Amino acid sequence: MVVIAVGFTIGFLSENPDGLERVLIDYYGEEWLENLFSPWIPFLSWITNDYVAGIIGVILSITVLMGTFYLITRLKKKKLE
Amino acid sequence: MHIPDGLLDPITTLVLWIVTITFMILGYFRMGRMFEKEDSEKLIPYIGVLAAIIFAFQFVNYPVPGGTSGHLVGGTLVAIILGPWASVIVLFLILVIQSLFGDGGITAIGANTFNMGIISGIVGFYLVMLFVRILNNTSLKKELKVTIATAIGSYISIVLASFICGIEIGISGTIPIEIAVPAMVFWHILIGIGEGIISALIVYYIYKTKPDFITTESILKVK
Repeated sequence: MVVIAVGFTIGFLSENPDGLERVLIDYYGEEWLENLFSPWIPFLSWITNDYVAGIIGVILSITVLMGTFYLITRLKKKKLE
Repeated sequence: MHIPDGLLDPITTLVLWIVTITFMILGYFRMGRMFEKEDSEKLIPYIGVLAAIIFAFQFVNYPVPGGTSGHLVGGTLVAIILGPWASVIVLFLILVIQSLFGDGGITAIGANTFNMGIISGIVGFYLVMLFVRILNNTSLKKELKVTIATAIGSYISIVLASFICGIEIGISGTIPIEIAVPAMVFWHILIGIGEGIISALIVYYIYKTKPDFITTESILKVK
């Protein structure tokens, strides 16, 4: 929990683009990057608050991964039986 | 290194999806015996914590000189804790969740999983294994050997993943390959330092507090 708290606290300090974005922005400009074609509107992109998005993301990650690996362990054990 | 939608051409996108799905299927069958044990459900809460750590730390944008930022990818870290094959599945699922927020494209999940799960995860793991073997010739404590090997292995894996990403962008015709590859590698030579340090610190912490959570210790052959 401390790790997550630290992650959120310092996670939004840098507004600079990441490495890939920097390469694209340097070559094409920021506007080009923002107008790349996407086939969908991300379901949760309406969440504008970074902290709310982060908390929801963490909860989703925990749920999805625990669920997936629970299924995997059950399937593997069933196969052994 | 989250590739957005619209950056790669359809063929590159499709090929990387096929490769990623293949690795995930292989991963399911090749994942370690620990998932078949009687008490393997005990691992599940720790996997949940790991998921939270990876997601949260992928939000940690640390500043990098030159007006850019980096964040933990975590592929090598997950591979050391859960095994290289499990890391592909973990990173895939986290990337799917991140795409829901617009962080990384939905069509690019195959490419992103290839770069962050397969290159950073599987290749990173075997790099760590190599450096553990080298460090086994020293008198360092076990946890320090794994920590140092993690730092170096995860650093190299990120630089390698950025190289591959640069090739993908170049092959797609988005940016000439002779520009994309050096530019990607340049920034990730700097960004990778953070990956190496954060991954090493997390591994060291886990080794000291809950060493049996590092399920690959026997594979790494730390002496």
